Amino acid sequence: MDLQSFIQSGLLESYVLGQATAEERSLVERMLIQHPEARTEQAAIEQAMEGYAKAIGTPPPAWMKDRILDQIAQLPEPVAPPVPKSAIPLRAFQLIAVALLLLIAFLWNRNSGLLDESTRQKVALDNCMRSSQSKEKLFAMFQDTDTQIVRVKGVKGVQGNAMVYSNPKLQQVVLNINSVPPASRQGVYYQCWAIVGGVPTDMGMIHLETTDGWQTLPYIKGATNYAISAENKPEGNPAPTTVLMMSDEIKIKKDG
Amino acid sequence: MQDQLISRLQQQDRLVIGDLYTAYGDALFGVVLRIVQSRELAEQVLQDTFLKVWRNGASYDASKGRLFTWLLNIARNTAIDATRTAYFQHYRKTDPLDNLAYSAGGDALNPDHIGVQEVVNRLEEKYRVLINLIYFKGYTQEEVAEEVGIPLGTVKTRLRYAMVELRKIFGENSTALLVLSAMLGDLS
Repeated sequence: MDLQSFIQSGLLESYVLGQATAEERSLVERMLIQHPEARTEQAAIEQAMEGYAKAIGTPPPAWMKDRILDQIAQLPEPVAPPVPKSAIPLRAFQLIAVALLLLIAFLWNRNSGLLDESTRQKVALDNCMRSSQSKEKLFAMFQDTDTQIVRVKGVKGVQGNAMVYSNPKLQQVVLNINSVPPASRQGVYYQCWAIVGGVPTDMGMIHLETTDGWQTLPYIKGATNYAISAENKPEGNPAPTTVLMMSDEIKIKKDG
Repeated sequence: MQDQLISRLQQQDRLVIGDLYTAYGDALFGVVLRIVQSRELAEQVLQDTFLKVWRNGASYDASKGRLFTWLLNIARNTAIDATRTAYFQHYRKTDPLDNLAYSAGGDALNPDHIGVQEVVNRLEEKYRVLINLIYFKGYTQEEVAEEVGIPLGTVKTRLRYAMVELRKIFGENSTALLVLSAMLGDLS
C-alpha cells in the first residue's frame, strides 16, 4: 500500500484507538517502520486523542490515589522475566536436559555445526522451560533417544534457521521458532509444512508472538523434509506461497 | 520526564503508579466517566485501570505508540467491559443517568468543561456520532456500520475525517485548545 492511500485509509486511526485487527496492526506497524511520515501522522492522531481526553478531564475523588497505591502495595510483583528463585532444582534439571539434548544433537548430526548454536539453543530452551505448560512432556521428548533433530535452513539466500524436534515413537513434533528470520516478521505469516512423498502437507501456522519461541506441531507420518513458507494470510494457504526455509532430506525412522 | 516514567513503569517501580495517576488521572477519569455514566462505577473502573497498568507495565512498547495512548486504551477497554456486565445493566435500570455524558454542566462533570462539549458539538453530526460510538461506546467499526447503516469502508474514511477534525480542535497548538485553556483558566 502506498503511503498516501495508507494515511487516507483510516487504518492509523483504528490502530491508535486500539481497534485494528491483528492483520491491520502488522500492516500499520510495517508502514510505521518504513515511513517517517506515517509516524508523524500517528503522533498527530495520538496528540489529538490526548488533547481531547485532557479537555474533558475530571478530577477523581481525593481518596482514590491512596487507595490505588495501597492496593498495589499489597499485590505481588507482576510476572517478571527472570527465573523465579524457587525453581532452582528445576533449573539444574533443565541444564541436564540441555546437556542431553546437545549430546543427542551432536551424536546425530556431527557435521552440521549444531554446536555453534548451543548457546542460543540453550537460551531458547530456558525460555521454553519457563513458559511451556507441557514442559514435562518436552523433557521426556528431549531425553528420548528416538527424538530426531532436523535443521530447517534458509533457502535462496534467506537467513534463517529453525529446528524441528520430531519423535515418531511419541508422535510428537516441536518446532523451535526463535530462529525464523526476524527481519521479515512484520506482516508476513509463517506456515509450516511436512513434505510427504514430495507433496507439502500443512502443519499449521507458526505463532511467533504467543509461543515464546517453541511450538508443538501435529506429527505427520512419513515426512521426508520440513519447510517453512511465508504466506499473505493469517490463516495460511492450502499450498506454500514462498518457501523460505527447508530441511535436507531426513531418513524416515520407523513410525510408531 | 516521559522517558523516566516509561522506564520506571517497565521496571515495575511501584511508585511510578502514583506519578502516572497525578499526570493522567484526571484525563482518564473524564473519559471513563463518559463511558460508564456513573460516578460510582467510574471510580471502580479507574482503580481497576491503574491496577492493570501496574500488572502490565512491562509489556508497554514505546515503539508502538505514546504512553498516554496505551493508558487511554486500557482505561477505555476496562470501562467498556464494565458497561457490559450484569451489574451495570442492573445499575442503569435502577438509577439511570442517561444524560450525564452530554449534560455539559451536570454535577458529575467538571463545570469548567462547559466549553469543551460546545466545541465538540461543532463537529458535523456524522463525525460526532462516529466518535461517540467508537470512542465512548466501544463499538467496533463493523458494529458502527450496522448501527448507522453505512458501508464499512465509509466508516473507515469517516473515522479518518472525524479525527482530522478533532486534531484541529485538540491537536498540539490548535487555536481552539489555546482559547479553551485560556477560558478554563478564567473560570477556575
